[in-house]
Amino acid sequence: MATSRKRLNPNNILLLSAFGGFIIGILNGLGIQLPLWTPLAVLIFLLIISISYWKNIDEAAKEAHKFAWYWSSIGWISLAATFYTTMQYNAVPNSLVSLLETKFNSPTEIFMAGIISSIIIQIIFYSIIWIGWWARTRMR
Amino acid sequence: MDNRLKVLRAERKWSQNDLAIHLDISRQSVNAIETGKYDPSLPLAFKIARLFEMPIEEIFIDKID
Repeated sequence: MATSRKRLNPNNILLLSAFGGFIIGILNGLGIQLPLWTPLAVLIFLLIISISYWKNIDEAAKEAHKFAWYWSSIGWISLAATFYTTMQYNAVPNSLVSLLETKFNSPTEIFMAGIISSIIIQIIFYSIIWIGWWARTRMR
Repeated sequence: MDNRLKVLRAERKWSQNDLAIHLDISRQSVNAIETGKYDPSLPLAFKIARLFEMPIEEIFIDKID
């Protein structure tokens, strides 16, 4: 049987993560050239934060995350698959194509925008479902 | 699954936060268990039973019974 141990406050761990993101954002905003090892540092930082957060939340909080992870993934995969299939019929509006061509200067920029928009949409889906899981306990 | 957690807690005049501290879980999790939104794991159910000095089946009621 699991033994209990002193937990760290998971909110503090999330605050540390937000602070890390804030610092990176500020440096980027100031146009400071980040060293080549920055992506690796970000990866290690996020892994440490994620492991630490997971070890310090209780089982109901984990259940909420599992639920949000599963349904947000399913939602996003379904949406992306639908969008991708639609593109096969050349059904992308011309206005969207010309917007992409004027907004971005290179295929790399379009690729990066695709990654970022994927992450943002996933986070939105995840947050809505996660909030919904907890909100349901207040409605009874 | 139904449970008597809210009643047992009220008998001891504990708030959800008090119970959360005793069980080393968050107040939100106590609320989720009390409202039946979340069924605790076996280790947590045993911990709750030990805290209230009662058998598990007197705290958690299977709806099939």
